[in-house]
Amino acid sequence: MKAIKVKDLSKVYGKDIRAVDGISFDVDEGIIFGFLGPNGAGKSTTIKMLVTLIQSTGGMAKIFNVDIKKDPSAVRSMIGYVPQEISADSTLTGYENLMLSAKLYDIPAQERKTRIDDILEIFDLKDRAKDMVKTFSGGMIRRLEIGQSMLHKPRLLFLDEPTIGLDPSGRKLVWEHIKRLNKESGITIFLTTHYMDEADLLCDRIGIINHGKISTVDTPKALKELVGAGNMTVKLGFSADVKDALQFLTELLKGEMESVTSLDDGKWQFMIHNVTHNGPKVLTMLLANNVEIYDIEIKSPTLEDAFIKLTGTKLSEESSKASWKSVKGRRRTYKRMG
Amino acid sequence: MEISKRPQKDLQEDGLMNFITNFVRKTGVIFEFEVRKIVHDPVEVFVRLVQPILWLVIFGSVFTQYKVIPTGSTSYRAFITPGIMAQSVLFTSIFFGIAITWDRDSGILAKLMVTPTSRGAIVLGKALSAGVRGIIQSIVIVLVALALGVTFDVPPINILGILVVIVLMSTCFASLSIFLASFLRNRERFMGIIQLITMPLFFASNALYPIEMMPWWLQYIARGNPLFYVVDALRAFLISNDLSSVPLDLGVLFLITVIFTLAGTWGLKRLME
Repeated sequence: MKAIKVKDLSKVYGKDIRAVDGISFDVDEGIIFGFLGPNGAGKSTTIKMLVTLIQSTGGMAKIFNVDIKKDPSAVRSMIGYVPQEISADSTLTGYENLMLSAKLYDIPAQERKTRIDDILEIFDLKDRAKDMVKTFSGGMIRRLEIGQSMLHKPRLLFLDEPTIGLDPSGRKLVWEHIKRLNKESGITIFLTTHYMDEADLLCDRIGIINHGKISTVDTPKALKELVGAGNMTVKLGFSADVKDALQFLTELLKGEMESVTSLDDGKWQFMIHNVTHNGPKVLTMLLANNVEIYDIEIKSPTLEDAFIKLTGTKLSEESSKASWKSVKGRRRTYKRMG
Repeated sequence: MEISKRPQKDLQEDGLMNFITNFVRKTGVIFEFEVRKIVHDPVEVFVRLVQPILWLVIFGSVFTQYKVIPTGSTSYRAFITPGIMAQSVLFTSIFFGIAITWDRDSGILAKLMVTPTSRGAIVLGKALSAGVRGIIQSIVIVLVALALGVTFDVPPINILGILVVIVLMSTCFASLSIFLASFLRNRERFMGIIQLITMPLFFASNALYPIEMMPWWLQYIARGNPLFYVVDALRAFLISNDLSSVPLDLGVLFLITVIFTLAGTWGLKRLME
């Protein structure tokens, strides 16, 4: 069964602000699926429609075969959702936040305590459970929030920008938890992110979304291969045989090697498909031909390259605007706490 | 950790009875955690008391001394005590929409709304918690009035009546506030509008003077003001013990509360879009 099935889903605000513009995709059960795109691409809007917070204006979506419009409350009991913004209540303790969720998710009274203890254990929050959430670090709050959304053992978890605003160690810990949840309990995870490394590291499949439209859905590997060649730059010692060796190489790796260019300072740039695998072959070949090698640099194609190729925009440029927005959002949160 | 493989539909099997039990239980849950927040940080409840107490102490002293307003055999300070109670509760509950807007801007509201919880239960639970704040404030105001020499001769059953009025009123204005917040997403504008409507509500009521003192047209307006029925009922229970108009007061108040709660529920959905 498909965990998510979406067909021509759209959300139009006002007359013609098409936040989500007729997207279609499927998510298999048990995988981690990521929506990658800059802020404002329509990621959060899509999630909000899928978790029944806002109404779509066209198309349809099914969660485990249940139509989100026809039976929202059945959908709600099957899913967990962690919004992008801070959703744990800072004026309650960690334990109280979990208890609130447990009660709202109709977990029977006799099971609540064990479930909450399990969650506290899994997410390393045991010794801080009785503290007010306003004293928690960003990473702890995120873990608590994911824990809250796992109390009712959902089959599908929605995470909207799960590591936004976290420091590197906080991010790493959250990534580990996400991977573990998926591996150990087989829960399907749908996440959105504008971080390339996050999408690459976590996701089994990635949907590239920009301006409310999905351009491609594929595995991170396939997306990177789509870009084609990576490059390897090598500094070679001068030898009369260099040209011959390169000639030979180009023929040997026909179809894999796109080009060889001489840069200044004795450097050569090889554009090669599957560069991490074919690069060493090139080096071995050069050594066998008595060419000295001083310096190498290998760059595999990244998701960023794939994103540029598919959408014609740089992800990082757009997200610099976005981070201004999120900083503003965070400042609001601080103002509230202070 | 295991995940359940079936939609947990059995928990909310259709049927009106189930819906109602679920609604009441969830309202209770939302209410419980709102009250916990008050317990964690009670300061705000008391900060909001400063203004009403100043009314009672300063305004009350001057007007009591010069007997400017005809209040019959009751002292003026006794006369305005229910009015000041109503004012205090009004000013607290009418700002509830701000808290909801905060919860919307953070993800707290979204988190509540993706659980199998009726939107109405969220609004009602939060609005009812305004009643707890109202009750605490009212107790303090009565204590201050006692300290200022007002005497109350209140039969125990009337206390129950007072609690009902305060809870209804808080729920009523807190829901109205949530409804208004769904239109005024900008917080500064919301504050402005709230200031704009609370003053007329307060002055076009019987909180500070009997409405018989008003020009005839204002009397009509006062009768359309929910606060009029609140103060009338509170004054009957707390001061005069003449309960003849109480059924009408409670009836009107209950009706307005139901309407505003429904409007607040609609507003909550709107707020999310």
